Amino acid sequence: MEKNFLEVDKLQTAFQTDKGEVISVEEVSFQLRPGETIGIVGESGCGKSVTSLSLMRLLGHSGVIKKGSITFNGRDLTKATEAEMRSIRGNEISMIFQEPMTSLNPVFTVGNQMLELINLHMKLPAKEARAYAVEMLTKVGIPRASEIIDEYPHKLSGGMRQRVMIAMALSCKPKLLIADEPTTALDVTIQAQILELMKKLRDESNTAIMIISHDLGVIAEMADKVIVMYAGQVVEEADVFTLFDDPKHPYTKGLMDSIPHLEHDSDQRLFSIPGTVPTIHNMPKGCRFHTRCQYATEKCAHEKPPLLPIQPESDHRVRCWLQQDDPHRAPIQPRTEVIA
Amino acid sequence: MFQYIVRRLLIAIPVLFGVTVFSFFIVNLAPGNPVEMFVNPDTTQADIELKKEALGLNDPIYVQYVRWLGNLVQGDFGYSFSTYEPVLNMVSSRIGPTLLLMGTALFVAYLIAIPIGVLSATKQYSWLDYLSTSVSFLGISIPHFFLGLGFIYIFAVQMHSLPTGGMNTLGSEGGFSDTFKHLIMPAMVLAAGIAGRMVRYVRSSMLDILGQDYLRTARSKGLREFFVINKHGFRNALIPIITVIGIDVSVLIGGAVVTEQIFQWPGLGQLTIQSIGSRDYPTLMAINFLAAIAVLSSNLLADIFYSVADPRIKYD
Repeated sequence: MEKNFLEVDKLQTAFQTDKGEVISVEEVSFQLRPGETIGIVGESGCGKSVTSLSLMRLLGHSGVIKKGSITFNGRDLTKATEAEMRSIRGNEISMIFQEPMTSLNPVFTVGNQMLELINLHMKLPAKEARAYAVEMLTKVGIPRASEIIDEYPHKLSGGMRQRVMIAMALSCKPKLLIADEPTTALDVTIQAQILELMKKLRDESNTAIMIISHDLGVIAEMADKVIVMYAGQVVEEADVFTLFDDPKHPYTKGLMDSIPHLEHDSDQRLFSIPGTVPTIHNMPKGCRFHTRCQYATEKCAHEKPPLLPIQPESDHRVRCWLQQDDPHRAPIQPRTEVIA
Repeated sequence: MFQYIVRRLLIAIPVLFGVTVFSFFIVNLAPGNPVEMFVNPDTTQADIELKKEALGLNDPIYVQYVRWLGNLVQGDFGYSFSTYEPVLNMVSSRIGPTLLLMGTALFVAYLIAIPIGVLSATKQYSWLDYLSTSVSFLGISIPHFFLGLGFIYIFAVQMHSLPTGGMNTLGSEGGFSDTFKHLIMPAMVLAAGIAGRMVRYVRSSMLDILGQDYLRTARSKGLREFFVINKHGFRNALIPIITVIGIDVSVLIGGAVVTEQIFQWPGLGQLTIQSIGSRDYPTLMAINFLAAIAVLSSNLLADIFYSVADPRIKYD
């Protein structure tokens, strides 16, 4: 097994707002080996994107990493200077985004935007740089790459633009590719193509991928291990098979139960977790999920559960009192409701 | 693109025609007539009638218009009623000073306003933003005559450092530095208003752009913030800015009437005031005609620049 090249330890990110400082993400920890894929799942507003932007240190004026460390190739990114971060962004860690329609600058050609990155990090002679850009476009399956390179983004479809983003992101052979909901805005057949492409390129280049999604199907398809986030915290962490076979946290189970299945009868109402993610300004005390959890006890409302392995030495960690107090309690059943 | 330009030029012909009809009748509706300017105690009614007949003022207005238009089509703008000079000479000798004043004012205004607008947007709600928005508001609000008189009082009357008006010192040979001294105050008065408006447009235009996804993409490439803002951001903010520039240019070619009058700047604006005073119809019509051409052509230029600035805009 190769060594971890990325270790995120108890990351805490805060934003300054009109109502004072709010903690958006806290106690997020995970490790990543070269070529490995980690999936981050959770509802909107759980801190998935903030976690990824923290790695890039692209939190804007108001965001700041308050605590924790991000050790990337032996360097702590939370302490790196802005100039060091610029040499890492796009080069060693690159990123693709949810909205391919708006992620490319409409007034510059595809080639212009790719060459900007290539020139920034790779110091190639002009002709070679262009040839390399065409090569990258061909690699991500763009037909007529040598013509497309001179087109403006509005001439391309969403799927093609996401391919351009991937080509750009992988140009400098990054060690880590952060994909923030890369297929959410695409239709299903294009989604499958993009995921296939990412898997193929990952296997060729040994790039580690951090894929953020609320689509468990995408995670199951791509990830080796998964962290489930709720309200800014990691609530469960496991390898992908364990997580899907044996989810421990009631929130994870709720997410699983919310997946529509083909074999369900058409009169079955799809399960949904009651309530919404609490707003950042009034986080519940104790376990953050207890307000929506049907198994919540008195303890959950008052004491914060820690993230602990389900068994000693296990890689499967969960932040839930139920798992840590009483191993003999009744198992949580999958839920579906029948429409009366 | 070429076809589009040709089409726009062809459309401009009826528009120009409409403008001349409209302004000819409006100009003639004004009370008084050119002949009254020659009246003195010795003038007899017969003299006045003779003069009116000679200038063709006794014909019905539409006859006068058709005559004027007929001459215009042949490139003849007629003679001034008050100086008897060819109108073409009078107007063309005024274009140079107006272009100089206008060009300087626009250049200085944009040079100051665009960077401040961009900075103001990127540092929204900072003291710098508050300062620049309040100063720009001041620039928009102060009337030209007030600012002009204030400048004259401070720089000419009190400090004796700048001349009160004109384009060259009377009796001197003129020259660059002399003209430059005369240019400073009127150009600054004009620039204040233009810059004030521009700061606001650039700021709001940039604020629309700053949240865009492609700026995040640019940052994620490892690009310096300076290039993220000024290359990826500003280029996208250009469309509304081009619109404002187009309007500024077309307005100023007609002459900055008030400012030129205050500073006795020998440009089109001053000529406009003089021609109105003496009911000099042929000169007024020529200035109107020129202003209409300026508006139409700067609109067309702005439209062409839109498609240069933003490849998504295509004309065919």
